[in-house]
This record gives sequence, structure tokens and C-alpha cells, in this order.
Amino acid sequence: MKMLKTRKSKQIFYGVLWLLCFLMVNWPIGTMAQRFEPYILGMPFCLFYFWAVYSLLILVGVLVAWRLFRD
Amino acid sequence: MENWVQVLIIISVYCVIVLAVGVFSREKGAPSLEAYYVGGRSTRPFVAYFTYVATFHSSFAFLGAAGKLYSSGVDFFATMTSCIVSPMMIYLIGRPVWYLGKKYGFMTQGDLLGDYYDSKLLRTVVAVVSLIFLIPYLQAQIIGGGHIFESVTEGKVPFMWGCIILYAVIIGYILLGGFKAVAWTDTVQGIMMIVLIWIAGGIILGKVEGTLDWSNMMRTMAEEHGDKLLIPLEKWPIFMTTFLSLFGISIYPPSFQRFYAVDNPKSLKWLAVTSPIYLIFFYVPIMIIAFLGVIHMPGVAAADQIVPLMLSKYTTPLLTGLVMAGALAATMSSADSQLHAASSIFTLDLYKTLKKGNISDKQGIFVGRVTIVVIAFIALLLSQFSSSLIMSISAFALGGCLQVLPALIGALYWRRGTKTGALSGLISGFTVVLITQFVWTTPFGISISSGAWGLLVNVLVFVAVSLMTQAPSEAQIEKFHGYLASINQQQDEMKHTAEQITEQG
Repeated sequence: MKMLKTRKSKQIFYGVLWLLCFLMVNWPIGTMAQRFEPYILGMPFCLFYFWAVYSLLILVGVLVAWRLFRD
Repeated sequence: MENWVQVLIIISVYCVIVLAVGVFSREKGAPSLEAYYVGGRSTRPFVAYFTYVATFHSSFAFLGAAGKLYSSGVDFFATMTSCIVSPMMIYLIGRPVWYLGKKYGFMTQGDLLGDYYDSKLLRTVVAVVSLIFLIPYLQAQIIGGGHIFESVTEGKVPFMWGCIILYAVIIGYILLGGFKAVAWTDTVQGIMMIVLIWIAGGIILGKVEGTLDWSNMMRTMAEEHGDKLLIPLEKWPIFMTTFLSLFGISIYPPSFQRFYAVDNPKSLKWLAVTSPIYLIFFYVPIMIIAFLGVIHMPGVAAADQIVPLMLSKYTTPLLTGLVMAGALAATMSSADSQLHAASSIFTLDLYKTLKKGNISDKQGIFVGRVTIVVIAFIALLLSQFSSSLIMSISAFALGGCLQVLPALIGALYWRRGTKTGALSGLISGFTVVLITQFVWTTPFGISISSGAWGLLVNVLVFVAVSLMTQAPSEAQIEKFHGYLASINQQQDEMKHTAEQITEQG
């Protein structure tokens, strides 16, 4: 029972974490990043934002696989 | 030596290398059906990774993606959401499929669904729908390959001959080596693609800007072509839902076959979360080339040609040849997997069902090989009479393949899903995809992809009809859900025990 509870709470935690990152590239949060200033790593902010959030989403995916996925 | 001759020599060397990889990686002796179609379920993680990502990337990645970035800017990033989200299906669907395939010997989608729902009709419908969508998709690859040959040889190798050469090479290694040849050539092609596109992006940036620092290019883009860097508000609905349709790419037959082919479900777990690294970073140099094209080569009517045009203008014939061999690799790595999957569907889901009994390995492989030649010939023939209808079919093919998802969820996760529910959901989803693609393109004024509309209706019909009809037998539920649940429980218990030991220690 304790084992199931632990897994359930892990599922909720990592599920919410992944969903938050996913929401960052979508409306309405993503639309707030639609501007050029400031330039970061030579990129306008809107481009940098997309690459950064997509990279974050990949990292969170790896974390989810490591901590939650079976096998 | 003329430029096109140099380019042609490089591409010819590439074709010979690919054929050689196919020959050397083939199964020694007479292969079994399992070896020919799913590589004997022994594909190692490295090859599994590259065969998946190379199959995912078609000639669109090299030519079409740059064209989209060149003509309409970062709208294209909607595809990247899909590159990250859709591979999750490799774990969610692929893992249980691997266990069931290993235990019951499944090799296709139809195998698994037909067995769970105990329906030859469902198996046939799934097979026919898959073939309907695979052939135009395959044809689009041949058209892409033919155009690559034609453009890099300045028309000296005509489109038709380009298509024929491409298919002769692909058929050659599939006939010889089956899945292993496809997987190993995909690996070589996958590595080639990413290495060459990064080299091309770097060299073009260095030549045009005089430095590898892209700040100047980015500032010019923002100041002079700012509209290409921003997503207009009205495009956000489609931006946010494209990934739904593109879920299809992770469960369409060639990807699905790879679920069965890996040697260990661990490979699928890590493939699900690490394949986006390749997919996303493939588009960085593509973006550089496209943006430099916007600034330094404006007004190109055929936007898909921006990569070869930039290569010809700013690099040597040698590099152009190499990179275009990379583009051919992208085409071939998708086409070979599609052709091989189409052959397995015909042989295992249609021929075997029609024969009403088991077929020997020798007979099955013979039928599979004949199918490969016939389907390739049909696709080759169709590619010479390309119409806008066929191109539209290939554009929404992934949305069509996605319609199998609810039936799969029934077989893997939802015990209440029934045969009638799965069949009616599949047929209604497929019909809605066609209607929203060609007739009622923006239902209720909402512009989301036809695959997403189809999936929505499919799920509703599947759930409603399933709840109204008799659930599958206990024995059938136990065979699938019971088996998967026992594996999960076993693994959870082992993990829990290991954690307790660690805590105590």
C-alpha cells in the first residue's frame, strides 16, 4: 500500500512538473515571450525562450524517465 | 570536372556504402519471419536510437523545414513541440507493446489489436488504413529523392531516373537484409544527416558573416524580418495542437515495428526522452541556413530549394554533394522503413489472414519480398503522376495513422474497450479526418489539424460504443492487462525492496 502511495505521489509530482514546462511554450505563457529584447546568446528573446524551454522540457523528460518510468 | 559530375560521384559513393552496409548487416543464412520483420527482437540501444530518429526525419527535415523557416519563420517551431511530446508514446505505448510482442509473438499493430479484440475484421481494417496512408507517404519520399537528384545534377539526371536510382538502392538492401539492413543503414544515415547539416550550417554562416557568431544575423532578422520571428496571436491554436496530429509519427507502422525490435524495454524508455535531443538540435543549423537565406537570398519562389541554393552559392561542390547525400539519406531512411513496414503489414495482416492459417518463414519472406517490389513499383509509378490530391494525403497521413491510438489504449490500458467500440471509433475517426481535411476545414471556426478532430471524435465514439457493448472476455483481459499488471507489480516490488535495503544500509 505504501509502495503504491509513493508511486502515485511521484506520478503526480513529475506529471505536474512536466506539464508546467509544456505550458511554458503554449498560450498564454508562450505569448508573453513574443519580443526581441533582451538579446541572449546573440538571439532575440523570443527565439532564446523557445530553445531554452524546449531544452528544459527535454531535461525534465529525462528526469521523469530516471525517477518514474519503469524498467 | 563539372560541378554536377563531382556531386554525382559523391552521391554514387554514398549509395554504394549504404548498399554495402545493408549487405554486411544482413542475417546470415535463411532468416526467420521474426528476424526479417523485427530484427529477431535484438536491436541494441545505439542502433535503435538512430533507426528511430532517422525514420522520424524524412527529406522534409532537410528541405521542407528550411523552406518553412524561410517562407513563414518560426511558426515551424510548432513541429518541435511534437518532436518532444510525441516520443513519449515510445514509452507509454511502446513499452507494453514490447512485453506483449515478446510473449505472444506480435510483429505488427494489426497482430496485437486483432488478437486483443479477437477480430479479423479489425485487423484487416487497421492493415488497410495503414497501407492507405503509408503508400502516399512513401511516394512523397520518392518525389523528394527524385527532386534532389534532379537539382544537384542540374537536371542531367532527370527526375524519373532519380526516383528509380533511389528505389533500386533501397529495394536492394531491404531485399537482402530485412529489418537489420534497414536499421543499420538508418544508423549510418542518421549520423550522416546530423553531422553534415551542422557542417553545412557552420560553413555557410562563416562564409556569409565572416564569423561563427550569429548575433549579426539575428539582429538583422529582428530588424528587417521581425514578422518571421514572432508567432501571430491567431496562429497559436494551431501552434498548440499540431503535436496532437504528429503523435501519429510515434505510433505509425514503421515506428511501431521498432517497439517490437529492441532487445530491452530500457531502450524504449531512454529513447522516449533522449530522441528529442537529436530532433531539436537537428533544426539549429537548418534555422541558420534558412535565416541567412531570408537575408541574403530573398525572393526564392521554391522555398524548399533554399538549402541546395545556399550550398551552391557559398560552398564547394564537394560539400554540396556531401550535404545533398545527407538529404538523400533522410529520404532513404524514412522510405526504407515505410516500405519494410508496408511489406510486413501486407504479409502478416492481410496475406496470412486470407490464407487462414500459419505460413512458413520461407513462404512469408518470399511474399514479403514480392510485396516490397510491388509496393515500391506502385509508389514509383504514382510519383510520376503526382497530383495535389496525393500530396494532400501524405500531408495528413500521420493524422490518419493516429486514429489507431484509442484502440491501442483499449488493448493496453482500458479494460472496458470493446471490439465494436474500437472498430466504430477507428472508422469514424478516419472519416472525420477526411472530412475536416477536404470538406469542412475549419469546423466551428476552430483551425486545428484534421488528425486532432479525427482523434476527438474517435475517442468519443470509442468510449460511448464500448460502454454500450459487451466487455472483452475475462480471459482476454487477463491475457493482456493481467500480464502487463503482473510485470508492473513485480518491478515495483523489486524497486521498493531495493529502496528499503538502501534506507536500512
